[in-house]
Amino acid sequence: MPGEERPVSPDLSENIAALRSTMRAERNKDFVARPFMCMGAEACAMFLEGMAGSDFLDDDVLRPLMKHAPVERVSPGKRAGYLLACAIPMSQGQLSRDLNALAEELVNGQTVIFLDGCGEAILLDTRKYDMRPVMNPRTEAVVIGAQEGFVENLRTNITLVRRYLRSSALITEPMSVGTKIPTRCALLYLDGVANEAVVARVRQKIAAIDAPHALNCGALAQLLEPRPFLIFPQILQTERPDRTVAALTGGQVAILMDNAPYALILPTTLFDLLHASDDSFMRWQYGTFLRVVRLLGVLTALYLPALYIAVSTNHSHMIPLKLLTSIAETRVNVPFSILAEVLFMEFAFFLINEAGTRIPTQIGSALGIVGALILGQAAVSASLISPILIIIVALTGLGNYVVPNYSMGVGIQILRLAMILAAAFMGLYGILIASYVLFGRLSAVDCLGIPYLAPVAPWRPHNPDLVARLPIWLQNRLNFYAEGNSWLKKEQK
Amino acid sequence: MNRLSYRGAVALGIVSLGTRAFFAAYVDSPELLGALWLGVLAGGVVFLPAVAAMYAVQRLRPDDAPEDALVACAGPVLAKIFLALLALVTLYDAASAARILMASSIYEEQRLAAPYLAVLPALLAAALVALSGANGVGGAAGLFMRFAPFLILPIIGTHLGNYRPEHLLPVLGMGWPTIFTGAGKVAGALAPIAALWLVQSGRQTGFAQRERRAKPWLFPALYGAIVLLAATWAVLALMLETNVFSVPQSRIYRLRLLLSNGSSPTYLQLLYVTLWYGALLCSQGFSLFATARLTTAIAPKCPFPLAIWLCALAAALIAGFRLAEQPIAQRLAPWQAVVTGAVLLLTAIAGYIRKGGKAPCAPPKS
Repeated sequence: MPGEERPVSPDLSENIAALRSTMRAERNKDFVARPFMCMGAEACAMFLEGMAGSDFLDDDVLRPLMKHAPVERVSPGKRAGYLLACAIPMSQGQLSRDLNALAEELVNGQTVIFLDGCGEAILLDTRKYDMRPVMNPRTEAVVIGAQEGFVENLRTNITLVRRYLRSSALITEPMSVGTKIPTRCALLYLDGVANEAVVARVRQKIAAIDAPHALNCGALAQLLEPRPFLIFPQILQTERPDRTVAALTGGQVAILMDNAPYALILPTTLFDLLHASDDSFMRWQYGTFLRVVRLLGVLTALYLPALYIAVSTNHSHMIPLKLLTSIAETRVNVPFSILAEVLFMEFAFFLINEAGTRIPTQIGSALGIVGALILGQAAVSASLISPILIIIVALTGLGNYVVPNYSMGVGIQILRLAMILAAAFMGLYGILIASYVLFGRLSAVDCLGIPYLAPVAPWRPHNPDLVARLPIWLQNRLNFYAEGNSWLKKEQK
Repeated sequence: MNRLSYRGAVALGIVSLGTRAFFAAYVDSPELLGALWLGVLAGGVVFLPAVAAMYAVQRLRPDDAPEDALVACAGPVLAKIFLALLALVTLYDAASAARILMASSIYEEQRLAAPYLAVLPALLAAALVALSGANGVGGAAGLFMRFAPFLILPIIGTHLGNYRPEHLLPVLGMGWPTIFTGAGKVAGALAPIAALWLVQSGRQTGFAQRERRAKPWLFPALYGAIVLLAATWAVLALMLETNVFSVPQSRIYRLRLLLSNGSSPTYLQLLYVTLWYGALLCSQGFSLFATARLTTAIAPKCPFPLAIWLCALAAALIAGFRLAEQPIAQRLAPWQAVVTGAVLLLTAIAGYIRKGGKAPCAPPKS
């Protein structure tokens, strides 16, 4: 059972039998147990084929061990320690006395070596399996900036972060998640920059996860989120090492997980979800301009269809007469109400969106034909919808796509439906009531004790970097939840 | 405990009390004519002794939260009576806010002819926000204050050529007696500042690197800012149209004058209405939260969510039975100010009596 210790036996055959049983060797044909002679005694190397690198296993492990002559001054019980210190030219290796721990490391790709007469086993890091190379991030493309993204290997991801953040204060604490099938993960933070209380809370939360297995990064994020019913994510997932490093230097904490090409950043505020990586690469004028465009896009995505319904049905006196006449003319032959039209087009947009994600690349171009011609042009020609609604939905869609965070984009889509219904029910009054409830409830949310809408509500001292991104020399502060008097603060001259 | 941070209280005060003071002057006191802004200032002066008493109580117990300071000064029994009176004042305020929202929404939403359709959704929304606690109510107001300038500046910019200072004449309107009548209503609208002061902690809430505390002068300064803001708003609104006191002056008419007067382009109405409803919703949320919070201070065993729903129901009943209609609200407003002022003054007096010759003010005995 995981958690209980099973001691390594001095009897080689017992150890072999125990691990073969644990690894279900009669059915798991990729489990290899290679017996050999070492120092005149029997030994056995065990590993999983495909997980351990057989080339350096042969050259750097088996060959030196097989050739090693017996040393009389070394007792059988001390052989493992002696060989690890003097015979095996590998950079990472350790001794272990626990069979359960050895089994866990076996499935991680390490090699276990038992020696007859020795109550310790040698554990060698021989991991070498095929994995995706470091490539462009797929979900967080930028025009200017680094073009590397995380991959599915934890060690590679940690290395990527270390390359960007070359500081001895960068701490990578190994942890595991999953009580029955553990998955390795690492907690990263900058010592003396991240607030100790925040780091401790993250550690606590990870340790408190009692799920038997965390399938992926998304599952881990859901297990860590303080408010699972909140429409917006409270943990930022990023594919970019540079963004992760920016978060670490701001006092946030990152979690990397094996088999997940994402880092989880926390604590997160709503404004973190609206920032893109290349904002800080560009000059402050461009960064500010694009952020304002992005904010307007978010507001458009959230409110435009609802405003259209409210103004067309309840507040037509707010529309200039020419535009009102134009709208009325285009709607003369449409048999449905404005609400029905909008809901139909929203549904069509969601379908196109989802299909675009799932459709195979070879027939991806067909989606453009279906979306543009059939759902757009044909629907207008058939007087099912008015032309102005195509513009409304297109603008709404574009506004949705400028949201850098995919999860937040989906959240905005769901909220948009709520706004549409509120507008249909009570016009502008309904939209404002719904907005009041939304922002009022969001104001009360916190992520690990950090208010979600901070540093705006509640106000906290912050860099001029929320919406307007002012020049970089004005940004001397860390995040308000970072360690006070941190060594990373710019020195005052 | 469920207390506002002092920053949240400042935002709530400016948004909700500023709007209510302006409403009390512009909509509920049309008789003031060109002296609207004077009526607001006079209302501020009339309630000033109560604010001074608030300051005095905080000075007596600078390290305590205001509620604790009130209990320490007045004693536990008297404090409960005072809190109960203030809770009733804010409950009526919540019902008034509901009727104001109803009047505003009926003006805008032609289909919302039934009052309950206009009253209940806003009360429900306010209850939902108040349920999330002090941070929800204060945060919503804080956010509104951040966005409001982007709505106000285009309005003022568009109207720059339309402001007519001559619309402020005659300066005294119908004379000082009318001004003081209006001042009484404005004072009643400002009275909930006592509840605001009591439901805030004087500190920050949520994570902060440094402990910051409110100074005793914060609330008097806030009060001054609210009065000046409401007076400025009144001046700007007056300068846009001529004041004629010869037609029915119902709330619907005055709202129509405010939100869609002839000199405003129609597209500006979107900004007007957003500002107006947003501020009123914040006001409603504050009133409901403050009433529930004071109720739990009187009856600690009552869970906060239950208090919210009970207060929302009570406000709905008061508003639904038209007990917060314009004529009744206008008559009761000065009494709200009187009750609140009496509570604060008696607390300050009791506090000073209890302090007697004790430090810090008493000279050390040689």
